[in-house]
Amino acid sequence: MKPAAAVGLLAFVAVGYVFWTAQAPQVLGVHPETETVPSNLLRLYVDFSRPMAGDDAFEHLQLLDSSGRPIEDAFREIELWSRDNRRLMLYVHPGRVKSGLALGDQLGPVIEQGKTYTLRLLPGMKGRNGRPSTSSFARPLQVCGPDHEPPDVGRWTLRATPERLEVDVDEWLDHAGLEDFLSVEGVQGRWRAEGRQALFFPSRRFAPGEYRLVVDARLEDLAGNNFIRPFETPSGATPLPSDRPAAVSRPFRVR
Amino acid sequence: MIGNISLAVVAALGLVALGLTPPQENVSLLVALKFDAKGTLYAADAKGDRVLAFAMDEKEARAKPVSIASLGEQLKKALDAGADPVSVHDIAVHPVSHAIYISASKKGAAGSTLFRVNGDKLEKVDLAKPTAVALPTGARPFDLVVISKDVVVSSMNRDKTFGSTLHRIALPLKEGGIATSETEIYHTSHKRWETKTPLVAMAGFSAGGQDYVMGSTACTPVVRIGVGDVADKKKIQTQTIVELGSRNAPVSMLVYTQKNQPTLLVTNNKEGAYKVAAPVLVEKAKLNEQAVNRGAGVPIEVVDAWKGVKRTTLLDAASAVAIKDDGGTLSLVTLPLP
Repeated sequence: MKPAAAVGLLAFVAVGYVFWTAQAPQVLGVHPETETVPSNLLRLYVDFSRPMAGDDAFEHLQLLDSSGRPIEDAFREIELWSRDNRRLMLYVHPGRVKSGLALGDQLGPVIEQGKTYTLRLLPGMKGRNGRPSTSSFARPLQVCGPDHEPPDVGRWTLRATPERLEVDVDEWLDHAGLEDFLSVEGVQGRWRAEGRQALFFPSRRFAPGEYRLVVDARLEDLAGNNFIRPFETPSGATPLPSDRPAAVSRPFRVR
Repeated sequence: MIGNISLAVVAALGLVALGLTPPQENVSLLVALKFDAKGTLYAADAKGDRVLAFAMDEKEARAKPVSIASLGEQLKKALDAGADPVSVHDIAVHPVSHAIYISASKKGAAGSTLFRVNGDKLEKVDLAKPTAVALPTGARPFDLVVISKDVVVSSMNRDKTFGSTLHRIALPLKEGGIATSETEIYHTSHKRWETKTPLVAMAGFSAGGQDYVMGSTACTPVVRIGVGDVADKKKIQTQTIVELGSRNAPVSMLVYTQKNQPTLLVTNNKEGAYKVAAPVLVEKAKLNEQAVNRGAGVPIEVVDAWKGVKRTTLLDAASAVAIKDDGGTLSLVTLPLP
């Protein structure tokens, strides 16, 4: 074989390998972005770089305690994927988050205040293209006290300019909800959620005047409390009121 | 010419290497199957979040017991699963031909394949274009019931909210005719009303001129819902009639008539099926806060012969066909109704 041909073949193989490995799915991140979570944390999201196959998530997911041991029954093992199969929604097992359930009585809560845990994704979870993920991912979680309080739009900070509205929320909220459950009455535009901040970019610059931020009352915090009521309703409480609010709102001014 | 062919081959190989696969617009993941009395198959599609209806004309035939010990092996071969395991999503029996249909997929597949049982073999079914009704955005279906004039579907949100909903679609199926209700369930184990837990298994029955759905959440109150109560944008307070306990997630529910009374059978992931006595099923007084827990004097029988049974459906008035999982070995069995 001529040297030039050998070099060409090697280059071809190298480029092919790079392409091949580039198609392996990777974990892009975990929501919430904060590492400090309430002890009654309900939900996490894992974002992937490619559409995933599904059906094998819980074989590659672990919640480790501070000594590195996997916690049994940590998640409700129903795979809930976004429509594009790039986002996996994980429920910390509700049977151990809600108080008074037999599963929680038997096994205790999944996570406890003051302790540290690690969400670990092992390599091997398959993408829809058949490629397994090749690297592991770890995310530490520091647990603070429980959160039984609904979010409060009155404590949010709103800053508006003609180009955009910045909303700083009062606590960490559900990431997907923050992307989809906010609107500005009568104004078209797009939302982007970044941590505890939601940004709204109107399709046309805001004209000076009064506006109203509208929040779907189903928007939840990390513990599943929403604007309608806390995640856990006290014993003996009646069902949801039939006149419960569909939305809450806050006025703001653009100068 | 040879150059062009070579280029095409290299391009095709390149696409494969890049993992670019053709769009899968027609792929569906049929996680729940039910026939109506005339032989239309209704399916919950968890890929497209839709309810599909397929006309399945078949010749009349009597019900015959069926047994396929090698079901798992046959499915692996038919689905080209290799070393990957296969999942059976649901099973249904055609009301006219009594032919058995099975929805299955290999692990990680985007969609499912529908099979028809022929003797002790499986045949792939080429599905015609279905009638489809889309569920609201983000509603991932779990189970469905076909009863009298309606299809009732349970779902859970894929994101944003931890919510449980029921959808009622009037028959015949047509786009847009869907009513969605939020469910609120009383959990006797921790004495709370909740809107958060989806009904993962359901069955329908009629009593006293009314249509009902029995449903169970994963943790595990059994509730009754009047089909007429499922109306658009309405909150439904379900009626909890019994609590089955924890760590026994329901897989499938059957309601059948025994001694002129509806009887409920719940297969689960832990032990034999739970047979719920008829008086409890039609209970009118001891509901919600007064509902009783299994083991607290409630006549609920654990049917050991049904241990390992996952999805199941009635074959005739006296027997059911079921997918049985014995330590990972899947079989198709016919079982007498307990």
